[in-house]
Amino acid sequence: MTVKEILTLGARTVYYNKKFVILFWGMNAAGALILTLPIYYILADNLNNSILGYKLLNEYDFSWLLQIKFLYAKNIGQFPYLLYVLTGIYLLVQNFFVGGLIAVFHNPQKNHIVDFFYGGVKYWLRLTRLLLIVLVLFYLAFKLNDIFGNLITWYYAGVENAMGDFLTRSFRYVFLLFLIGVLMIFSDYTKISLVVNDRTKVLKELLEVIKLTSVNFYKIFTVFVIVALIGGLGAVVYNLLGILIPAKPYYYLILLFVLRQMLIIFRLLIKMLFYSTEILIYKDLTAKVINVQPEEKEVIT
Amino acid sequence: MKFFTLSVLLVLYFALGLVNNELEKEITGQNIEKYYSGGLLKTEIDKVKNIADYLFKVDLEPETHSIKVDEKIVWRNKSRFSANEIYFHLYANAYKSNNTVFSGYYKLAPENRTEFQISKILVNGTKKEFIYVSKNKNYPQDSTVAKIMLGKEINPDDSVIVEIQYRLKIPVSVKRFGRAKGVNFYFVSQWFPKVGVFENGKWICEPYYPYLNFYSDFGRYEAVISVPKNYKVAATGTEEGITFSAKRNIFRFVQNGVHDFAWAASDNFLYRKEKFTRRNGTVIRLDFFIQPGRIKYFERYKNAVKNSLRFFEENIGEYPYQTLTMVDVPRTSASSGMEYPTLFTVSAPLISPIETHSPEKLVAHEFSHQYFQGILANNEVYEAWLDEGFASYAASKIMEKYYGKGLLTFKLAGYYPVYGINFLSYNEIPVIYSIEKIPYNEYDRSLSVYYKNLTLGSIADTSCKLPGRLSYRVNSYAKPELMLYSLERILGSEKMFGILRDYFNKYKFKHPKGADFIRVVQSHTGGGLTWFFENVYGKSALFDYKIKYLKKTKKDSYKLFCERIGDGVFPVDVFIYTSKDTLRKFWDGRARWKIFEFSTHEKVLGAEIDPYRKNLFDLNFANNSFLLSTSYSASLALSANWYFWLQNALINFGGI
Ligand SMILES: [Zn+2]
Repeated sequence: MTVKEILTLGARTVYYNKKFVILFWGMNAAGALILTLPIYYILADNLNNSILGYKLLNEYDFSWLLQIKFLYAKNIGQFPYLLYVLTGIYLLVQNFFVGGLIAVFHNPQKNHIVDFFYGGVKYWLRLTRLLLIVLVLFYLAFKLNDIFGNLITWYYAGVENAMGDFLTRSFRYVFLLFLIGVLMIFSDYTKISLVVNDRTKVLKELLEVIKLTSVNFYKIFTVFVIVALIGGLGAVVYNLLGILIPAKPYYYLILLFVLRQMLIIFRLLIKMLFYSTEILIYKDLTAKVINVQPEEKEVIT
Repeated sequence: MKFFTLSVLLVLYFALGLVNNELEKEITGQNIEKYYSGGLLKTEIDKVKNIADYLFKVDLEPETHSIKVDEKIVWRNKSRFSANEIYFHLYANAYKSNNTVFSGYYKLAPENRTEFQISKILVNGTKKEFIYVSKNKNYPQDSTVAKIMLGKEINPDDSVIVEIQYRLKIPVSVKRFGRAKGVNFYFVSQWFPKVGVFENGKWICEPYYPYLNFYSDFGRYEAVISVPKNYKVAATGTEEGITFSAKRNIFRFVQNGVHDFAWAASDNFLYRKEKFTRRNGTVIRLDFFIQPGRIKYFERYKNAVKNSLRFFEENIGEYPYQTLTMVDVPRTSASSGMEYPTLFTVSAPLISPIETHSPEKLVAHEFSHQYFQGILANNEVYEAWLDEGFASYAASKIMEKYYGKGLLTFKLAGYYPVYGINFLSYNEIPVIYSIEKIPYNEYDRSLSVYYKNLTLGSIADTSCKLPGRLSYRVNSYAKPELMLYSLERILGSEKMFGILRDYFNKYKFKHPKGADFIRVVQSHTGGGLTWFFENVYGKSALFDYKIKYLKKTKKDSYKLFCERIGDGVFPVDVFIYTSKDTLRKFWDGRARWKIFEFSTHEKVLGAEIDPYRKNLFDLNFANNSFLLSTSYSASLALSANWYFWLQNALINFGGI
């Protein structure tokens, strides 16, 4: 399959299954809501009876932001932990949805919500085991990034070339993003291979996928980057439209809210597009093995 | 023999000085001799009490990273007391080991260490020795203060001549004095034995603290600095001649009416000359020494220096010197952001749009020290707020006047500035952030520093006794800046600058104390601000005024309940807003609460304490006001932003 075919077919698959985006959106909206509540209570406590609230609708007040951070330092200090815990729960629930989604994408006849949930339940445990391994890999990637950072700091401590330092640090930054991309690819394809082949040995499957991707890296990475760029395009369009929405009166904020939700849904659709294209590539790359056997069987019968 | 050579050299220089005046004329377009003598405006000469004059002959030897120095000091006893000993700051010894007061904050690796290697001390021609005096019990081995026993009394109006010969290795800089690592750049400050201040019959001479380092008397400084052929020299004072030999360039600098001398030498920095014309038509020579990689900042540096000069000349007082020198230090040097008489150091980020106010604010701050520390020479070790607080305030005013509001940025890959706020990042990757152009107030940085340390120490506390760096930063920089802002808001700008002008004129070329400044303020305000200095300066009071409620008691009658939550007292305006009008009340702010009962036919909307934010120390601006009708729009709108950022963060995390 060509890249173009993969993208069109992938997009079509997402289109036929667009209803599932509601689930992802719902999960995302609920997660963000839980995390927003503490911030909302802080703001309500601070602003609901204050003239400052009105002023803030029309202009920035950085002094006020500094005060909020200071006055509610205890609550705000706990926020990252809340975020990390909730992200953990989010990932576990997401595994459930992703298992269902891959199952449905893999088998176009099964696109009922029942199949989706059946797949979700069936594959949840193996996807979660994979998640744990992937988290370790991410940890190692960030450690590596740290080591690079320290090396750069050490080297440039005695060198005048600030531009060199900047370029090296930028390269490190891009490299980290690349590393994250590669790990995401490994993670996605292993999920796919676990579901498509209905296998349970997570580590073995991950190693297989690493082999498979390293051989077919160009195609896999190209599609990954193209889909990511389409996603980026969404952000660009959002920003262009966002500028058009006036900041006051404040009820325009409702319009902004709608636009933002459209962006979120678009981003989630892109996430689905990642999976659908990846399934197509995966099946295409492993087709020889799968397709050969039935053909032989046909010959026999 | 040494002094014979020195005298020959000096004769040579005076001859060259004539040539150099021609050069000066070319730069400034004026006959400088008409206005200046020894680098100082002639009109100012009689205002300076020359107590300690210095003459240096210096050889820089880059091969060994060291200097060889002949120093000659004339110290005059201009007090009413006689002295039988003389104290010196030997600040280069702060870099001797990790047992010095200085090393309490700046740890010294072997490459950062150095100490004076003194070969000879003569007092009025008689051989003498330094006796080290450890003044800080925690650091008995500190040798940054020493005295010489004179063997006879130096009576009022007598003088003494001290000659010192020494070598000093220039270490890799850890802070201030030292050389850069990636390029030949030597920044030479804290480099010579400098006489303490003989005050009321006692020597004031404190060790070199990590962040506190100035206190000395005014005098005439002259330095003859010899460097290799390819080196340029930037220094305190006016360059009054260069001689070129086959292998060396010899620079001569002179400055009258200063209390310190610093210089820099490099074979790498670029030199640009400029001039600033005062309103009376006289000219100040501006010398810029800039790193080649930062030459793109030259215009911005120049504008920042000129704007700062203009601000001070218009609002505070005349810059009394002939020359002002700015040294842009390499990135591998730790000498940036320092101030010395007629010379200061700065540096700039690789990428820095002007809206970030960097390097402009740094330039404005370091320049401001020419006045607050250079000319108004307070004892920094005891009252650092008189230089750091005033310089912070002045720099903020300069930014407000010439540059408008700055915009918040956060940096990607350590260098690339992005407009907006980064609330949370993981491994340098922004997780919750907002990319937008958000303006800030110049004093906001001081607010954020203040919020980190509300109660440890007060502005009035002795600086060197403050517990730790944060307490020092808060009480020397942040709170004094906020205090001066609040004072300006209470008095109005015109009165405020009237006070600053008066303070400057009364105490220039002297050693003002905090009490002197307060006295000037009180004299301009009829003594009405005692409460202000008691609460804001004298103690670490906390301020929080709040409107507890505003309610309708019967038809057209209302009750407004104001509360003082903090222990700090600050008289406040109280405004009551109706649909048509504003009712203005005043509360002296002393009692724990105050109830205003009032009647009006108009619809009452709300009330506000301190509507002009005169009290920048108020810890909660939001509770200063109260609306009769609760409004959710602000908290909802702001939460909606937060909600969206979190939605994106979750999608990003969910990519795993
Ligand atoms: Zn300063």
